[in-house]
Parts: sequence; structure tokens; C-alpha cells
Amino acid sequence: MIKKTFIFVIVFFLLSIFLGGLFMSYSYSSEKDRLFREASDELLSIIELKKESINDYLFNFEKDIRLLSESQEIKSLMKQSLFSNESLVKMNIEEKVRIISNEVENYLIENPEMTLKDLQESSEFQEIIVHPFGKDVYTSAYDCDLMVPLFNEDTKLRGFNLYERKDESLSLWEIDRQTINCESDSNGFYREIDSDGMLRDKYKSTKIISVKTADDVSFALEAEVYVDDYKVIKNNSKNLEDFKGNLGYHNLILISPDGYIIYMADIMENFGESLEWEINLERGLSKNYFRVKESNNVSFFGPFVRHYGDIIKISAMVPVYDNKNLLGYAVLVDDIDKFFDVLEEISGNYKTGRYYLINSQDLLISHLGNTDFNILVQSIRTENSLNCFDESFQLHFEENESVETFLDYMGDMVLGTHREIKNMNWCLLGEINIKEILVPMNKFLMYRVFAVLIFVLIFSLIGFFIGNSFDRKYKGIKIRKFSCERRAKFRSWYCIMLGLKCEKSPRGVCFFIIKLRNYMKNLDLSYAFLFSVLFSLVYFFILVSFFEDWSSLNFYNLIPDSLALAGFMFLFIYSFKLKKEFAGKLIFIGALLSVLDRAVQMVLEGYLFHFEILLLYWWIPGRLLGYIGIILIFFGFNEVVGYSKLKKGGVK
Amino acid sequence: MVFLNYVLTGLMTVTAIILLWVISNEIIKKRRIAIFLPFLLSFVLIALASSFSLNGIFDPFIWFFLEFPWFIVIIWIVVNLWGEND
Repeated sequence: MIKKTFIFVIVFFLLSIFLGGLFMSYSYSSEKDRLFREASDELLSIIELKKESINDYLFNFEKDIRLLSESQEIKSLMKQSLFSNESLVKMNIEEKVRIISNEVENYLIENPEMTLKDLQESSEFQEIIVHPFGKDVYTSAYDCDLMVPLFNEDTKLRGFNLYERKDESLSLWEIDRQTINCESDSNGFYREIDSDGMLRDKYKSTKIISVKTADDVSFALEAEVYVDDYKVIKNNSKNLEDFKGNLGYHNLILISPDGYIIYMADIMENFGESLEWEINLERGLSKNYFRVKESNNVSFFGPFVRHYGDIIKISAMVPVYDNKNLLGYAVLVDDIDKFFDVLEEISGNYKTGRYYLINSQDLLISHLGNTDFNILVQSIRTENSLNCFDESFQLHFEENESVETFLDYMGDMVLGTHREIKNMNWCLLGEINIKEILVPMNKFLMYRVFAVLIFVLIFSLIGFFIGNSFDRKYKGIKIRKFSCERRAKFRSWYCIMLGLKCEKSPRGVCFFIIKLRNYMKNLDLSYAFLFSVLFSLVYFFILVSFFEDWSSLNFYNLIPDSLALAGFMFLFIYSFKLKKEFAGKLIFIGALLSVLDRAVQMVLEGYLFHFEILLLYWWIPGRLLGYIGIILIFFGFNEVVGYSKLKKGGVK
Repeated sequence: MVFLNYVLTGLMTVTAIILLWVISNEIIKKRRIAIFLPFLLSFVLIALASSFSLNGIFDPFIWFFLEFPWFIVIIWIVVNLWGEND
């Protein structure tokens, strides 16, 4: 006979495990909620402060540009007639030829095996060497030993000999002559009759490419423009330079109504050019110019890079009117570093807390981490960034509450939110890594698990003492077992309470249990087997259809669990047929717990493969049930098989 | 999440120790190998799972092969129970 002590210890142990599990689950979820709430509060307050800082910056930027557009200094400057400045054209053209020739040399250094024929067939090289330049003109290149054109926008010119220019224009030949045998670079002005028959001044710059092709051919890169294509204001303004300097802006630019950059406080290479020229259409300044032209109001644009390696800029542009006459456009350009400082002024308590900006093309436009090399290069496409530019999402977006968990651009789970910067069509993203938020949980859980273990131990000891006292008290007295059949013979407590006439037959749960037990006892094993397999198959198909894509093949992970589920289900049914009552009960409980474990485990696996993330915590309750189940099954198995073999003298 | 790894590993280890205790009893009592072999197989499976869990290895492919033999254990138990019960 099994002693009461053993039963009490097992019951108290299982009860304490259950209560401990409940306590752990509750305290885990409440502590997790608290930590998430703390992180959310910080995220929301910081992102709101940063949004305000950005809006303040843009507000001051707009205030300055409006002030500028109203000043008489600007208006009087813009009323001046425009002229062509030869020294400016010279500087502009020479600088551009220098930049393009550097790019050509770099290409030749990187591809030393390429012959002239290879280069002429390479569209990549053609794009570098035949570069748009000035107003509808392109750079070209010729063999400076033979004086024969090699790379030209107009392919008809190939085969033409530059010595022939000697008869056409002596002044042009004087410039070209200096490059014969690739001796030296040459620059100079000359006159030419254009297609309309007008005699106009031109400036030509030629630069010898210092790197030869694989078959030893040397080039000279040339570019020539009409001087009167470039238009600027004659006078400078000390007041405007002071205005720019005092407010710390990078540059102050004035643009004529037809798009010419007519004034620059700091002269740069596009000075005098038109923003409507094809070569300038992709420039940030040009994009902002067309935007202002369309809206006729202040427009911000940025960030943009003037050329590779330059500091990234942001510009504000406004139309300038004098008595309803459009004089042109005023532009203030600022270094974006100043803007980053505004973003980085406020930092929170979380080391992984990141606040960064993206533009409407999902490109990163502010620092992320300690580097800025990926600005305007790194694409950020996360749930957070997509929601920010999704108009239907924004309709229901509540800024004070909307903090969500999702994967960031690195694939890490983060808590995040966003704010739209409407003036700029930007999005400010704020994220904190979930791992860092949950770091205090480890310590918290360690204390809780320790407390639960102590509780389980004490509770099991109490069970032991109670059971032991029962064993001592009722030594030799057989306590009648409680059973459903016996219970049915007496009037139930609620019948007594209500004074109802109750039937003698079992009712309620007892009735159900007795019916089930009898049914299971009499169930044919082939039906039991069939039911177990069907149950497992149906469960498998429902889960895979719900969570998985059949084509992903992830469902193969559920196959061993389905087999085990079918096995445990069969064992569960078979436990009713066991002749040894105690062993049957052990296996009944054990198989039931194992079935539950497998069922839960299959759901979690399905979830994990579908969403690719699941906290380890969720596996623990199921596993706990499963292992208790396995141990109970083994004890039951031992009870049936072990003792019987021993009694039969089957010791081998 | 390292701490939760320890909790999971702890559960497995406790189960493995109980199984080891049962197996050693079976060996002491010189029972038939067919009776305690499912215990032994379960012990191996749980011990392996415990080791993988401790090292944070949750590769689905490895776990597929760790979970699969449980079916054999169950079948073994059912067949033995059937034989004895009849």
C-alpha cells in the first residue's frame, strides 16, 4: 500500500509548483510591463523634445530667410543688371575640368589593362569622360600625340584632325597648339560665330591626362563654353556677408527669376550658372528652386551634398518681391552638422536609445551611431519608417501612445516610435533595444526563482509532515477512498442546502468522468490508435495552415512533435485500461501533462517560425509540465512493468 | 535572456537526475534491459537537450533530431505496458 506521506508530498509539491508558476507568470508579466512602460515614457518624452528642437531650428531658419527677403539691400542688389565675368568663368571651367580629369585618371589607374578600344566600348568610361558641362555642352577628349578626337558627344567628329583647326580659327589653334605631343595644359579665350551667326566670346580649358591607356595612348580633356552663358551681379555686399557671418550660415545665395546663381557670399564653383541647365537639375539647390517656383513660398531642402566628400548642407529658399514684381530668390545654406548638434543635445538613460532622421526616400539623413559615412546612402526600411510615411496609418496614429515593438534595420527587436517632420517631409525615428529594456529582468527573475524554490521546498516539507502524521494516526486503519460512484450515493451538499430532491445516480462532473472512464476502458485499441493519429494530424494541419507557409518547409519541425503528440494521446487513452489503479493514475496524469506540453510547444514553434521572435520565457511553463509528465509516466511504467517482472522472478 | 537559458537547462537537468536515479535503481535490482532502456534513451535525450540549451543552441535542425526519438520512447513504453497488462 502506498503511504499517505508519499501522496501528500507529491500533491503538495505539484500544488506548490503550480502556485509558484502562477506567481512567476504574474510577477514576470507585471515587471515586464513596468519596464516597457518606463522605456516607452522615456522614448515618447525624448522624441517629442527632439521634434520640438528640430521645429525650433526650422522656425529660426525660416525667420532669417524671410527677414533677408524683405531687406532693401537684397532688393537693390537683385535689381542690378547682370553681366558676364571672365575671371569667374575661367575659375569655374578650370575647376570643373580639373575634377573630371581626376576622375578619368582614377578610372585608368583602376583599369590599367584597358586599351583605347576597350575604353571607347566602355559606356561607364564614356559617362565619365563625356560629361555634361555648362549650358548644353559636354567635355571631350582627344589623342594629344596625333591630335585626333577620341571621345566626343558628337560621334561625327571622330576621325577629324585638330590640325585642321589652324585654318578655321587661329586664336583657337593657339590654345590647342600648346597641347601638341601632350606637352602642357592650356587655357584661353577666343571668339567664335555661334549657330545664330553671332560673334561670341568663348573660354576653353584643356588638361593633359597623366595616365596612359594599356596601348600607350595619351589623352587631353577639353571643355569650352560661351562666356555670356554665365551671369552674375557686379557688386558685392558687405552687409550681406556680415549677415551670413553673424548668423553662422554656410552661404547666402541670390538667384535670378530665370534660375541664374547671380550672387554668392562665398563664391563656389556653380556661381554664374543657371539652375535650369541639365547638369544642375539633380542638385539640391536646383530641386529647391523648382519647388519654390511652384509653391511661391518658403521651401526647405536637404540634406544634400554639393560634391563628393563635401559637408552635407540644408537650404531654405524664398521668393523676393518688390511691389509684386518677382526679383528672384534668396537662399540660405547651413551646414547640417549644426542641425545634428540639435538632435544630439538630448540623450536618455538607455545606451541603445537611437534617434535618427530619414527622408521620404527612406534614406538615412542624420548620424546613426558615431559615424556619418552612411548618410544619404543607408536605406532604412522598417515597420517604423514605413508607418511614418503611410498616410492611412497616420490617420489613426496617436502620438502620445503609439509605441510598438518591431525589428529595426539591423534585425534586432526594438521598442520604437516616430514623428513626422512635415515641413521637410522627414521622419524622426526613436528606438530602444528590447534586450537592454529587459536587462533588469534577469536579476528580478533570479530572486523570484530562488523564492519559489524555497516555497516549493517548504510546502513539500509541510506535505511530508501532514502525510506522516496521517500515517501515524491511522496506522492499521484503512481510509475509504473517495470515488465518484460513492459520492453519487449521497445527497450532494447543494441538494441539502437547497432542499432539493436529488437523484441517486452520478451527476455533473462525476457523471462525465465515469462515462468517459467506462468508454475509454471499453474502447477498442485500434480505435484508440486511430483517434490518436487523427487528433495529431488534424492539430498539425490546423497549426501549419494558421502559422506557416507550406512552401517555406518550416513545418518539418512540427513532425516529431506531432508523432510524440499521437504517442502521448494513445498512452493517455491506454492508461484507462491498466489493471493497476495507481499506475494507471500516474500514467493518466503524466500523459495528460505531456499532451498539453506538446500541444503548447507546437503552437510556440509555429509562432516562432512565423514571427521569427519568441521570448525564451514562453517555453518554460510547457516544458515544466512536460518533464513532470515524463517522470510520472516513468513511475507508472515502473509500477506496472518493474514490480511484475520482479515478482515473476524475472531477474536476469 | 541568458538567465532563462539557465532556468530551462535547470528543468532538464533535474529531470535527467531523477531519470538517472531510476536507472541506477533498475540496474541495482538487475531488471531486464528492455524495461529500463526507455529511461536510458530519455536520459540521453534530456542530457543532450540540456547541454544545447545551456549553450543557447536552438537550431531547429538539431532539435528536430532531439525530439524525434521521443516517439520511440513512447512506443517502447506502450508495447511493454501492453505486454504486462494482458
